[in-house]
Amino acid sequence: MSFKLDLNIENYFWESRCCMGCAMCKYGDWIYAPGIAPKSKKFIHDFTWVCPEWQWGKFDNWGATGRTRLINALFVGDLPWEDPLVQEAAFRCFSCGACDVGCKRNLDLEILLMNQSLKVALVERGFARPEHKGIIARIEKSGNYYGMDQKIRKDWVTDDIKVEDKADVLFFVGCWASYKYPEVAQATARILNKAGVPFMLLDEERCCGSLMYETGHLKEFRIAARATLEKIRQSGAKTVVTACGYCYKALKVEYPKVLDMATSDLGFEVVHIAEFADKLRQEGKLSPKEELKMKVTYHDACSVGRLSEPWIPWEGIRDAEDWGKLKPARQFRRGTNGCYEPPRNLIKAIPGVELVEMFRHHHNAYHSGEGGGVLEAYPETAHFAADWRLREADEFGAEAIVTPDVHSLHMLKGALERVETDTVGKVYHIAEIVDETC
Amino acid sequence: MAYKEKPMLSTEEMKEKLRQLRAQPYWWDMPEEAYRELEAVVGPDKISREKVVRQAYVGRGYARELIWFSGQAYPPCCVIQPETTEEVAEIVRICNKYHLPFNPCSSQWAYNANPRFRPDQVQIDLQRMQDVVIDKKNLYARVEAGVRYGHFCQACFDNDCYFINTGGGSASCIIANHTVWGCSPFNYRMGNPERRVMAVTWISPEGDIVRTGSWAGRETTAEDGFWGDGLGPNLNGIWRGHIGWFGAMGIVTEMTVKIFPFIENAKEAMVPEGVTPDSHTAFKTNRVQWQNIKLPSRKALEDFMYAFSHCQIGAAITKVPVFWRVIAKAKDKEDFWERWSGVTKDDIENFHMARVLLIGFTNEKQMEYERAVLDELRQEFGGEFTRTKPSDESWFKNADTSGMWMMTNGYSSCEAGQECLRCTYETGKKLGKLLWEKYTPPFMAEYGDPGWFQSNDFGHSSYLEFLVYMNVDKCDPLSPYYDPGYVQGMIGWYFEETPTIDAETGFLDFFPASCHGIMFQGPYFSDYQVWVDRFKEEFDPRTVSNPPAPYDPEWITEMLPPFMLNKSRRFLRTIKRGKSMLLQ
Repeated sequence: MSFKLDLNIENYFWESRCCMGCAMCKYGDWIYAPGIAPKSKKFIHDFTWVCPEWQWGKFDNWGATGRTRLINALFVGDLPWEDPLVQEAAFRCFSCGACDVGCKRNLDLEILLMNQSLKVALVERGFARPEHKGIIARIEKSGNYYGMDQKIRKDWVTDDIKVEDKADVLFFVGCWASYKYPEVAQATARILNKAGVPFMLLDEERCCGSLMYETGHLKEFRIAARATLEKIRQSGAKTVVTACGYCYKALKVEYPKVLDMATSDLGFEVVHIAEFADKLRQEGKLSPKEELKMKVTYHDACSVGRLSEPWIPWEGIRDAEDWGKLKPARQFRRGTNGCYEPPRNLIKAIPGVELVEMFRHHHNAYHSGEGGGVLEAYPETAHFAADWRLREADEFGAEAIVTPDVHSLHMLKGALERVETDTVGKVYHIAEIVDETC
Repeated sequence: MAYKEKPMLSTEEMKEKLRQLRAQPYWWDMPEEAYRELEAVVGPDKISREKVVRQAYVGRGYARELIWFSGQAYPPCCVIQPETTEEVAEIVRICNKYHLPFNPCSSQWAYNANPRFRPDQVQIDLQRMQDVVIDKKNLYARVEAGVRYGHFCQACFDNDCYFINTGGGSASCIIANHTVWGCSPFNYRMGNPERRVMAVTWISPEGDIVRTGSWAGRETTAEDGFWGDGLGPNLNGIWRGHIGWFGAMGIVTEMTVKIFPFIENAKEAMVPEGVTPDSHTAFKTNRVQWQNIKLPSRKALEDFMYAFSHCQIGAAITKVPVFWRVIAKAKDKEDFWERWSGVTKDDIENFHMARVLLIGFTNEKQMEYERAVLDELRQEFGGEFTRTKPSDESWFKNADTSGMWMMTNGYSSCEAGQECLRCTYETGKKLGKLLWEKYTPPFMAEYGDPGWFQSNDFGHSSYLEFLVYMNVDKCDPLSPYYDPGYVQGMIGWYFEETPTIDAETGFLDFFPASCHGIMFQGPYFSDYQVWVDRFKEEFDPRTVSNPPAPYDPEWITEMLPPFMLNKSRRFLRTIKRGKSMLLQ
């Protein structure tokens, strides 16, 4: 059977048939536990979930295993596309990819692409969530997530920040850092300034369109991707730096995916500020000096971690006459090549800081609730995920959580207001903690 | 055969196929009154009759359930998630009242190994029952029905103890597995699953709460689960049966299991390193060691395993199929096939490797002693040590057998059971030979490998599991590449050849109960079905506890293509009772 890695749900009928329900998409595996004794018995159960949607809903339809059966039923006509719970099961998914990493431990099924293509199929059939449609219309009209005036997009640039008109490095700021968390944009810019790296901004930066991708609005996302890609190419940038995980993932992975190219064909390199700053640190251009006596933990935002591996297009056949082998053989993205060590290197380099790992880390990290458009459509599920992530950090005695993503910064800060903690009192963006100490 | 592109069946074509395959309408609406009564037990948030929720519980299981019965498994009529034993009992009583069959499931697999062949079952999902209490002093743990191996093994480790890990993977649940299976390489030292189980809370098929062992007659199970028998009625044979009822004899909601002392400060002897999937626990080799011993012949391997067990050293000894080793090295399915294509029949015939785990439980001297005994045995049987990594990827914490699906996306454990070492080995050899000579294809080439077998209970018994791999596209009626001839080519293997070999060697296959119901009849299995019927009639008079499990030939064979039924019937007329090698 012909098979292409794309967002056409028909390509994932195989997945819907071949899942045997081993639950690696549901629970984390203890073998990577760092061996730190938890404070309470909660650790036994609650922190072993990898799928926040499933943990929230408990019934199997909220997880990948159930979703394979659901998709199978849609294919064979046992369930109608119109069923509101089909839509809910699809759109409550954070698209965080934890299930995908678990499945690829054993079976290499393309679970995340399957989930994502279900969202696309639903949108194409007219079942998009109204909350998403509203925000996407706003983005298309105003150019940003918040529907704010584009003229004030660069207001975060203060007098002490030096921005060049032309440079090899382009700082792609994103809507959330531009409007809601200017301190992250400022910290990122100051890091570049301190290291003596000239950088520019896009003349008219528009939303990367990540929410469109996350919520299955493929047509709209393709338009946004083409436009932004064109602008970046016109700018002549060789390196695009982001501080937002979702901008990073969109530019590095999703644009090539929906525009049928490899990440290496973009014509520029996309790097997260953590990667860039760690390189500067290694080159001696950036060195943390200020002491920060604090126990911190690092939250591997999925957008910067397991989902940020370069996109590798693939098209071929699954040979039914030859044991279902893929021909030609393909390279799998299993989440192991994401950006994991640079932010940890940066944290460990700060004098006085002790880095502790949570139970779920690296590509097995638990999601903090910001992805998939869930916050916009089902905020209670998004907050549920963020709260559990915060509790996990607290369980391991961290005083602060450091995240590489503006969205997860937002979610975890919100959780800090809701959840009573013993130790966690602060949430940093990685750029903030680096800027503060360098 | 050359590849030929065939388009996926359209929804209309699949609907038509399913119309032919299914005996009953797919969705069944349960009585409103029954639903309301169930809802009153758990509250509205823990029960659902939404089709999407019900669909999520369809068709888990092994290859046969996924493939042969593709399109023939039904969703439950509702899904309910109790949190306590009392709630489970009440649910079961309501099911009895309304004659609604129920099917327990938990943390994937095991309980739910059979697909549902009728649409009117209540799915009792026990995953919310997550309590674990470890009594380190008395070396047992109380676990509820939703507790899974991954977190239980870690909890044991945190207490310097250890427990088995199952081939079903770290997400399999303890109770489900112990009421059915409970196999692990550690059975070598810890004994078989029924010997690890102590006090039990069992909900009978009619909804009575029965407590056994030292929980007998108690209102609470908070204390003293130490005894499995002696102080209370030992009903293990009733709730567990021979190898499990697969949910057909009520529901076990909690049990105590023996846990075993490990090295003091276990975390220092086995250090977690890396991140999944590239993770392992690194051994301090003065306390934990793997040893691979390559032996000169199959006979030498068999004799070596027997002698090793009799010396009562080691923590485990097993012989795994060669293709497992290739799976472990392959980076993906295509890489497996690349590597496997370089393997020949000669390679398999000349490869006789025992994998041994040594643990210095008490101190380094124990390790030195066991290593010395092992070395003597190695020399006696002409073996040689081969290189192995001083780390573990799966035995202690997660046994991800689902990786076994990787190379074809469908396999079947066509034989599994416990006999003496000689019997299991003899059976494995015969199966391997016949599979290669007569059934390759349709099955994947295993080149005569005798399968996976290991020593249990210090050699008192041995476990054999024989796996065959098929082309799923040709087996699934909903695939455009479905080939009835291909499926027919496999039938003889399952329904004639493997039972015949069992009868010749005296091997009692575990699987008839769940999958080969038709083989369960008659003298071959000591008329076991007569006893099953008597117990079912007594304890489950309304036949509501997960029918058709543990067997129901009529139910199962109704679902099979007619030629299967005829072959099976012919087989049943010719089968003769085999001589157990244990008695020779």
